[in-house]
Amino acid sequence: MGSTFMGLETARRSLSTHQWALQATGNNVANASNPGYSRQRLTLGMTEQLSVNFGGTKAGQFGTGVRGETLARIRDLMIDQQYRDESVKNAFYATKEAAFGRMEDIINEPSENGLAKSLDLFWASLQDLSVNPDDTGARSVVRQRALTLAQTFNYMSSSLTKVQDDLKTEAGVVTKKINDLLTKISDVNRQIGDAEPLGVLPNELYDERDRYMDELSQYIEFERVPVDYTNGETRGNSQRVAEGRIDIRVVVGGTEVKLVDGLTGGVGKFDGMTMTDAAGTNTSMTHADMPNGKWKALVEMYGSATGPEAIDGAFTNMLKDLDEMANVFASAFNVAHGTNMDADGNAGRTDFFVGTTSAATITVNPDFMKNLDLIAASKDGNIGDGSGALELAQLKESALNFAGSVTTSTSIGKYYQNVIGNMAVEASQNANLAKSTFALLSSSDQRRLSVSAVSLDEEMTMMIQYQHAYNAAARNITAVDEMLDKIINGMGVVGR
Amino acid sequence: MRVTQTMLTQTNLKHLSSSYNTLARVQEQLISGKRIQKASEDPVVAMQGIRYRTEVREVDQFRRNVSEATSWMDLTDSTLNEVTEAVKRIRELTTQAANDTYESSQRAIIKSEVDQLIEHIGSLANSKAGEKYIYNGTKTDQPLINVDQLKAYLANPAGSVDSIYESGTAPATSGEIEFEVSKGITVQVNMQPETVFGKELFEGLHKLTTLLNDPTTAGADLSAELDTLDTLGQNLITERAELGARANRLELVDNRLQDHEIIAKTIMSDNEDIDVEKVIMELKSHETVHRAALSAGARIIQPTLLDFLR
Repeated sequence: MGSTFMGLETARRSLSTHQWALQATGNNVANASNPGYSRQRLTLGMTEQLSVNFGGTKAGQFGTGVRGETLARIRDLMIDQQYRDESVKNAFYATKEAAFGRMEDIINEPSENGLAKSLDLFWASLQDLSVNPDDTGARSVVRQRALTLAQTFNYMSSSLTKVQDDLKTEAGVVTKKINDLLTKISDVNRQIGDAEPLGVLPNELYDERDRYMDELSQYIEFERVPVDYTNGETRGNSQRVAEGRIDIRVVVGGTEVKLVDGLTGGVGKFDGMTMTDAAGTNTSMTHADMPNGKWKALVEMYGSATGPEAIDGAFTNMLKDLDEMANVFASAFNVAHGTNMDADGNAGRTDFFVGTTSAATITVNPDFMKNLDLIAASKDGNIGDGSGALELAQLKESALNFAGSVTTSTSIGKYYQNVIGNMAVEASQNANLAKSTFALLSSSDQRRLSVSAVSLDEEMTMMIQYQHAYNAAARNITAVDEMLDKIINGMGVVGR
Repeated sequence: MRVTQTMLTQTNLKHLSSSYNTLARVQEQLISGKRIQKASEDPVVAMQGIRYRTEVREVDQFRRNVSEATSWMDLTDSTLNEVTEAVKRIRELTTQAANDTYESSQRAIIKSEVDQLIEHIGSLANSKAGEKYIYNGTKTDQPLINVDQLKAYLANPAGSVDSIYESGTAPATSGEIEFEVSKGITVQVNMQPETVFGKELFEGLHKLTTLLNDPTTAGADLSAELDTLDTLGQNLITERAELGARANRLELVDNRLQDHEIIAKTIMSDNEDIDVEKVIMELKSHETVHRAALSAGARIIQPTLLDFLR
């Protein structure tokens, strides 16, 4: 026969376990809108069973109540991995898309105020001059249009340079964020390492670490490698489901660099083109083996011409192309201008455009700003001859030798179309990839939410279930109480 | 699959945001009337857009050049017409004077009229289009004939024809003025002075007026000059025919440019302008989807089990 008070103990265990279960449910509901939160469940287990002999060979095992086994978070680490893989790709293409968007805003083609229009207007003014070479008005229009063309080059060049600098600054900010996150992950790692041997599951710390890793996955591609319990061993009283400490490793050109070392607690440093691992060993990167992600995208966009990041960045290329266009066209123009005669019958000067080496510096020679007669429109030296101006106008159509991002012999207009076409194709490819990687990213996010997010209906149902179980346990106590009352106060009073 | 409230909210937000993106694109298309705002939206349209726009601007410029050329040629034609008329009148007067019954006083009257006509031809040679002398090659800032010198030359039987030209010599090869009227196609717009106002013309006229002034001149001498005048007149007609042919060509070019302008503008518009009806239909259908997304969100997200528990 069991103990007199056994029923009370069983019900008490039920009361307190369900109170804790309700507490877990309450916590889930409270965190329903917390983005990085994984729902938690108290797994219930039976307490030791009691064998009871009913007499003879008849016996039964009675349960003695319930207890909480583990309070675990519900999460699929595989889906986390998928999410981070997609996040790296999406951040890469989305960053490029945004940077190309800014480039397109500056280039602003096709429009009524881009470089193509300035070039056409300059050509038209030379045509007008060839028709009216004696007209000072036509001359002054040529001068103004030349200035507009030069200023369009200047504006585009300086704006592109500005955005390029911004991108470089952003890459610097990203570097800081990466290092900050590495430190945070290492801190949480240590706390997890301290807590687990006590037999608890530090769910909040797991969630926090996962949040940091999600954020890190935008910036660089990394591997999450668990380092505790890899062979089934335990540390102290740690539970089987404990996640343990982790390494953050980045693969650079075939070698693994430990940026966070779970066992030693060391933190490496991500510094531009160099990575320092947790032990302090430096590994330098080249463009080919940069880890994917936002940081790589930024480097690929600004790609400075010199230094360790010497790659053909999109902005570097565009600036190079503009320089090439300005230089080749202006130099050819200057040479052609030199073969003409100016309004006073002198040989034309070969410095109509000055500062031609770069789109940033090209401008019209100030001498021409003072004296319109210097514009050489004539071939025979007479004022009425506009054939020189016509030759200058026709330069727009003639094949020039360009050696920018592509080496080709073509007219400046066609070359510019090429440059715009290449930019547009690249930008649209990136936009499409950003869109498709975003779709993959959100679908893996959905799968993750499907596993880990709090469902209010579910919690409500659980709440009702736990509440009823709690109430029933309380009723059980009452029943046992009445039973005991009967025995203690109601028995043996016959005839009293 | 287990579906949670957060998923419903996120899905709804995602679709609303993509729906707004589409609506914003359609709105931009309708407001600007252009199919693309950024080159990356359609690289081919962007590249061709640059080319077509350039083409439209080029045709526009060539038409301006053609109209300049036309006005120059019209003026040339009308002055040449006057010169021809003047030479014709001189021929009539010469025929009249060749009659031996005319006395010297009557011839003197004829001579004075002929002189006036020659001076008129001289001033026609100095015709201006705007600020430009049209008959002095590329030296459009200088007149061809010095009218005072021309008068002196007519009065002086021994005078040199070179003296009447502003430059001091009779023009031999003077500059051609050519306008570009189509890509790579140029048309000469001026008549060169050596062909219309060359020394043959003035020498011939000078000889005539000298003969008219000379009392010993016989009618037969003057009749002989009629041949010279015929040659001069014939020369002018040839030149005018040449000019007319050029004007004709210009007209053809202009017609072609007009066609080209329409074609270029149509191609440009086809390339980059929206089809308004199509875009409005698109807007309507996106609007329906958007409204459906909003109403679905409102219906699904709001209720939970809580609403149905006592």
